Amino acid sequence: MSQISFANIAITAMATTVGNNIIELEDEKERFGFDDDSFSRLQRSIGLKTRYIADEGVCASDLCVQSAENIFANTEIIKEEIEAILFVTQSPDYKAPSTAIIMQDRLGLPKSCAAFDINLGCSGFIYGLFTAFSYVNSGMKKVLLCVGDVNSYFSGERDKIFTPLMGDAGSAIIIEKKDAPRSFFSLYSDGSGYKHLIVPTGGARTPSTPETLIPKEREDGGIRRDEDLFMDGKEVFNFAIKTVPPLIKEIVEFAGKENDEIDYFVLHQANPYILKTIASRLKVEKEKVPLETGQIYGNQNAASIPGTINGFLSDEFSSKKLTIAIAGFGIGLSWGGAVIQMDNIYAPKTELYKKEL
Amino acid sequence: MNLKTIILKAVKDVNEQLQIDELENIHEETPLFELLDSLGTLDLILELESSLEEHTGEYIAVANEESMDKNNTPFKTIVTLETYLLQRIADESN
Repeated sequence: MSQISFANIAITAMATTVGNNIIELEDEKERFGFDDDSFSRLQRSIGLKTRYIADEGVCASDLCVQSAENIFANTEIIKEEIEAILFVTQSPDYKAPSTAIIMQDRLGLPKSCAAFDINLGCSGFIYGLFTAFSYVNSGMKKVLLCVGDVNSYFSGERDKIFTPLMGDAGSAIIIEKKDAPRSFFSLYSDGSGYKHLIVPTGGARTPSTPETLIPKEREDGGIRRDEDLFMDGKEVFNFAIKTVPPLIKEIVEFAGKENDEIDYFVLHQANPYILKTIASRLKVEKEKVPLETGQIYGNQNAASIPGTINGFLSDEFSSKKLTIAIAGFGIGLSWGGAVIQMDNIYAPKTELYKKEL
Repeated sequence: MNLKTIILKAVKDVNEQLQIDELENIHEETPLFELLDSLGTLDLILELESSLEEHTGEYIAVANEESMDKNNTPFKTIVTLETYLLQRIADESN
């Protein structure tokens, strides 16, 4: 994609809700069949500590609805002003219709509101943000972007390769017309790598059968169904290290900035080593590259960038004008980056999901 | 500092947990990358970074954009890894 920039459009609010069950990785040793050695190896290489998981039956849309209601309850943004709701997820409520349309009704948004889902994972926040900025640029006043996943939807219950990494989260973000510096975006995709992160069955290409629902031990040692997500860890690592540093460099240059003019580099929280390596290759101070989200909350997919802001930088974003570079990368393969400014936005600390909502 | 000794010790340490038979009797052409999964490779990278820092007093990032690329990875064998690390150390000292 060619590089695109937008003038006078800004994020004004961002809230994140996570699953209400805090799971210590230590307590999952038996479930995933880790012995003490393999467990300490996992902790050392990925740094996992805890993850936040939703109760069975709670959907990503439930987490996002709570985040959105948080914004409506605590800001002057009113529901009648929302002209589009976009939901980036890989765990929709139903295969059809788009969950965003159901959320329009649940949130009491006007019927004049456009609503649709975007099927993306770890790059999804950037893609969703770009779409929301485009809509506002086309004339809409305010757009509600929701991003999130409940990972039990596509991760094997006993898949020790993938499942221990994952957490459940849903974020809501308001994008609106406002006096603001230009924002810069760049998006990419490479479908030749689609098999590296894939839910192989359940779609029209390879429909579900009773056989695809049976968990099986795989070559990589994980136990999963054909309907669970498969990740080729080596390919994904390689993809991230190869694509993200040039992407950040490109987007910062496109914004006419130097790295030292960027307050934070908030990247998709894949794993801390990948983030450290990217920071080292970009030669930026490690304090500017938050990397704890995956260790504390689990990999939050499309919600991991807002999840990092609400989870660890809430006070900063609520009280300062900050220029940030953001980048998401993952399933597709797809990746994208942006440089945006946020000026004293509503950014409360991450909330646990409240069942009564 | 004998780099090959550092590499062999790092592989041995990583394999204490993995217990891969072929790595017990490792030689220069053992297909290291084929035998290690992604976590094992990452574990080896961390082990090497920590040993190199201990010996050189400097942090040297071992991963590069080809670390886990099956065609071009420097982790193919002990020989390719040694050549790669020598270059990384030289790059860092320049």
